[in-house]
Amino acid sequence: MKILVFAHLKDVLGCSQIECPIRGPVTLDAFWNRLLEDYPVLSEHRQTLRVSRNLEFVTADALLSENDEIALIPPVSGG
Amino acid sequence: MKIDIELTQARISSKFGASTEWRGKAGALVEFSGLVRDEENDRVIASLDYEAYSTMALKSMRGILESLALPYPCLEVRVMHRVGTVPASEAAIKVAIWARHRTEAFGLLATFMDRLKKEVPIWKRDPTAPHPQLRDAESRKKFSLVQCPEEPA
Repeated sequence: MKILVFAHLKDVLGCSQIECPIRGPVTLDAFWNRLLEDYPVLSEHRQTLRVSRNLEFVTADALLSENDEIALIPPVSGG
Repeated sequence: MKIDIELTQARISSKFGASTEWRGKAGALVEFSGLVRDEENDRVIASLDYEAYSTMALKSMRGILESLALPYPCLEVRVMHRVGTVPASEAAIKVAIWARHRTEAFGLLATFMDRLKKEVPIWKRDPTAPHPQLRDAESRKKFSLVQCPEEPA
């Protein structure tokens, strides 16, 4: 699964896209658990991050698959 | 309600709100410019850098405006948001709303801006500010340990 990252997360991770060996469908909790195994640096940011799937924020009961466009969304500050 | 949304790297034209389409029908034209101040977090700055998750930002803004069409039935909304470097005193966003009456135009503008600042994936950054993630040795250590795949083309 490819995961897009933005804003300060690009500095944290050093790139604008990361990969995680998730095929899915997986729950949001399972997604985070697997992601944090590979990218433990994200743990301190998790509470502030939202996840989007195919351009929409997901809810807690969402299922994520590798064919989805997944992104980690830090707190926004547009306008 | 007609909706037109754009992200642009260029300075937003002063003619942004010009239109003759609603002549005779619109009783109100409300224009808003969100300007970059010359200070951020008590630091004097020359500019801010704006980044967007473009596809989601455009979809999100459109979704917000469509949801506001019923409570605030306006004729047209035009939104332009900058990305890239925006010098201080220039507009990071401009909104123009044509409506039959001012009440719905003001209501739509206020609600749209409130929701944009909470929901739309656009970020601003002071390019001269030291990044907090890289301030201490532990963060630098974590940073160096991250392995990234190849960047997308």
